[in-house]
Amino acid sequence: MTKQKVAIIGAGPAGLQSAVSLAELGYEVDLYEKKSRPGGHLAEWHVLFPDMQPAGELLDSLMQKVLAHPQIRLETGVNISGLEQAGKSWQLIQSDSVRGEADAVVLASGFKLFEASKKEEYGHGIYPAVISSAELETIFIREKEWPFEKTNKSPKIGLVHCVGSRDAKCGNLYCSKACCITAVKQAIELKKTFPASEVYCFYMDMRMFGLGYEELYHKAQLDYKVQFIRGRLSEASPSGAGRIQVKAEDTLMGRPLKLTLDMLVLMVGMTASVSPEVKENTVELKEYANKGEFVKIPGAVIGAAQWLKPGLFVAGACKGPATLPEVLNDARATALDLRNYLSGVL
Amino acid sequence: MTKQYFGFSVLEQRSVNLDSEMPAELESLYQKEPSLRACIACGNCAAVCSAGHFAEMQFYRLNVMARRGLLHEMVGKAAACMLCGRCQMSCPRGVNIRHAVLMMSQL
Amino acid sequence: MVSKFHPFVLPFSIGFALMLAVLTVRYVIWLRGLSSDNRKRIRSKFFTVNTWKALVEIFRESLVHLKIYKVNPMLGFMHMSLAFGWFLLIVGGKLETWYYTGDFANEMHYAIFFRYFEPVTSGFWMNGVMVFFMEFALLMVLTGLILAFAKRIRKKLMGMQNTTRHSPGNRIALTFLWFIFPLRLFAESATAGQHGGGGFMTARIGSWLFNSAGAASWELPLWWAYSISLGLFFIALPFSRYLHIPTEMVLILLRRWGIEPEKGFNPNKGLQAFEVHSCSSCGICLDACPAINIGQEAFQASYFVRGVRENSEVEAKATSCLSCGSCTSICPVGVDVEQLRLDKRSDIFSKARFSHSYLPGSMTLWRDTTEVVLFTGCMGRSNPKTTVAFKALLKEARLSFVHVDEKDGVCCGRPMALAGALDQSLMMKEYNSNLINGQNGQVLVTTCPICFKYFTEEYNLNIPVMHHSQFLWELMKKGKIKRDSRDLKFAYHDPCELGRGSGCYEPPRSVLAQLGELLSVDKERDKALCCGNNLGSLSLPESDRRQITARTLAVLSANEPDYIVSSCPLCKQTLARQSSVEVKDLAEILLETKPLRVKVPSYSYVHQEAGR
Repeated sequence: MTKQKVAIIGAGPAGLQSAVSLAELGYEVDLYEKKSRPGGHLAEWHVLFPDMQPAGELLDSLMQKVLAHPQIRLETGVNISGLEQAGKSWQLIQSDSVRGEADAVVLASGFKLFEASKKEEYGHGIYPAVISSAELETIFIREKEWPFEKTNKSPKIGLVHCVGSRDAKCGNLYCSKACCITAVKQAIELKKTFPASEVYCFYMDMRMFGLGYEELYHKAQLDYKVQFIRGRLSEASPSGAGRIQVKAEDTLMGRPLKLTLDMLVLMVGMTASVSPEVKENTVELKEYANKGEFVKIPGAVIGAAQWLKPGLFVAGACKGPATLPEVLNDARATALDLRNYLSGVL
Repeated sequence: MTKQYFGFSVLEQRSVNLDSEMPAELESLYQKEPSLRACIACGNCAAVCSAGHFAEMQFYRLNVMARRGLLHEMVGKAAACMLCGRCQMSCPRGVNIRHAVLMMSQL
Repeated sequence: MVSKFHPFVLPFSIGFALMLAVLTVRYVIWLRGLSSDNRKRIRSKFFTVNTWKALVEIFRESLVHLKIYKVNPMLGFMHMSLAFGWFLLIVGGKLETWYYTGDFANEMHYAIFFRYFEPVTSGFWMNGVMVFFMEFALLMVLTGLILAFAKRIRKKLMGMQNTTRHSPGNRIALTFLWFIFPLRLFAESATAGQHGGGGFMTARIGSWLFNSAGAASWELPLWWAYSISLGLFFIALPFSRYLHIPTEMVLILLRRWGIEPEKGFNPNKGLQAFEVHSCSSCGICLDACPAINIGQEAFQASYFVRGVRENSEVEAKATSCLSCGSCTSICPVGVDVEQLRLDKRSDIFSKARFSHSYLPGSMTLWRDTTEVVLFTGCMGRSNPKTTVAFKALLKEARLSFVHVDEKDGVCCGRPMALAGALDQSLMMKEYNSNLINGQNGQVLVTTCPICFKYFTEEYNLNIPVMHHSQFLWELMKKGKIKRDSRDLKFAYHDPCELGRGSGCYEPPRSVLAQLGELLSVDKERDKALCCGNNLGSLSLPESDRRQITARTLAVLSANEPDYIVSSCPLCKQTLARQSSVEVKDLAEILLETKPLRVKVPSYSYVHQEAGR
């Protein structure tokens, strides 16, 4: 009997972990990645919260397992645009032609970062001193230049939470979960890089729910002297010599606050990347600009199978904002559900 | 009637007493503009406020006062508003602030 | 005077008399509400050419309905058939009896039921021309009736997506109206069948249906039914939307006599009463409304005006509306719904008190002459790209400028006015006037259409006011900004306050046409849809606004533009949040299309600039 085959769409953390778990369960795995390299957003990340472990280490260990496993076949630069059900198996469509076939599919297309320039008042794309949290990660990784003078060893830096999340005006009412802790992590990294710097976090609520998060927040206050200001920014305006002046409401003081900064970091949230349009025998994987919805799994809370249709499973952050441990666990759980399905238990 | 004592005492004038009855005007305020209930006092409205450049105008605080039934503290404080609508354009909770301020300014 | 009588005319006569009595009472009350100035106006204009012009307009609009015809030919034809046909029947009836009896002063019922009293007439004029004329007019009304009936069943047949949902009282009145003319046709046919005579319709129908001896018993009941339906309709008229028929005519006269609306919300007094009761609920405003079928509240002009007439749920209807002006601009009767709504808002928030006495006195320091005084407004602060781009363009055109509300700014006052609190914006106006007048500038340019409208209409500034789209087009015409056409496709979104509000449609289009291809949009210029966030709207929920935005975006992106372009910070911000096509301000597009050889720093220049 030939081995049953599973196709995975997306080779970010969810896709890679799913591939490893499924291969370990004995399935043939075809792993498709749209981009030219696997890893998703993890490949653009410097260190992980809350343990400050280099993100590259995690990615390397996942990749080693994927590449070492004879049952996993990874293909990059393949954009799967749709799925077609043929009997019990699934055909993967790449621009109108069949790219592959599998007994089950895992959709692990992840999330897209909120475009910071959509909050135009914060000046991203206008003032070089305004960058997104993702851009800050790349500066950390690649040691790219800072948007302020090299001689400036004591920059004043502001981090804005909830950019594109918890914002009805952006159409995203949800909390992106990872940004608060990312801000804390980045604030610490910034203080490590520039011990003489002043770092301010502007938050709506501090959401430190994960394991070790609150402790890191505590550490940021005590050991790194990061200042946390409960308040929203109104706008960023140029203040000369490449600096930025921000205006905010300090809601704890109940007074307006002004601050001149050398760099402003916008903590961009997560938005949907692919919205599947499920029809009778086909599923279209649509990439919406600006209006996609995360994949909804009915009954997910009460432990229903993580699938859209029998045989089409969904793993990771394409179901909604999630942190890395959550994504990895979800990938393992989905692999189990999938095995139950293919072995006829589910 | 026996007086209830807690293990500490707070000056009556200083405490917010949610046991007291809410003013009837507040009920109608929230009924006419239900979105007011969505406010989380993030302060965005005050941050972008045009009037806030010159005067004390903090919509979120007015709304907190309203929620606590402190109508007397709220009265008159909406008068500084210019109704320019910038707060409403950027309110992350979708509160119809202009409508609410108009009603508050009538109280 | 010829006097002929039968008891069946009584329902008509009584109904008509009652209608006249009620109308007289109501009109007298409304007219008494006119200010003394307005009464003077009537007295001075009564015997002038204005009255004649009004009569011509009444003929064109109340009878032939030319404006409706222009918006929707089928609907215009329907209204014309009903109104003009009925008018011809009335006039024809009068002429007929006059000619027949040689006496002008006949009783009204004699003319209305002429064919009952005089079934057979003779002579070329009476038997040939008059009979044909009357039958033709009846046919016209019946055609209108069939179309009206078709519209009730399938509105799409009449080119309408939405028609007004009428209240029960109005439906009853409508039923009476619909019965009148078929009953007249059959009553006259029955008489023709029994006694001879009749025209091309009634003679034929008479000989087919009412020729037999047995049909004789049908004749009188039909005339009774005709009279009763007329009578009931006339009784219902002053209490239903059909009050618009006589009222619109009075309104036209009043307008031509130069009557000015009284201040405040008072739908049962003066000009406002006539306006409110002139709305026929034709429903043309419904299809024009960007918020149609969105949300809980049906607040469209037609429903709002009805709410005002019936005094029911007016408040929510007045505060939900976007005030985009679409309905007012398309209304065939010219009811100024915008003003009415503002008056209602003033009424709702009459106790609202604002005070801006905290505003500092603006010191006028001596300044060098500056070419441009730039005002970006409150909303401009959320659109730094527009401001930065516009400043870069001013530099490119080598113009000196001062940005008066760069650090802090005071609202122009228009949002206050849109909330119905016009008189509460005085201190803001004074502050801004002093600020602008003290700049020693040559022109005030604002990037915000809301400010633009208010500066133009309500301020008394010492320099001319321009919207930045007008100013940029002037610079291009003068050759101070030069651009080559590129392979770019634009869809332009007309901001309500700039387009319908200020009549500025061409300058932004002219600029875009120089830069690439300007696509046509299904609803544009005076029919443009609102972005969803017009400041006129106070209580419309966020979710409804988003639906309106999505609908507007669908129309704008239909022809697959590279960019959706607007020239209003509010529209741009609103559209950009939800659009999958990039949304930019006119100034941004103009800056970004500059040829490389023109050495003007782009967005980044502000950094060096601000440091000085």
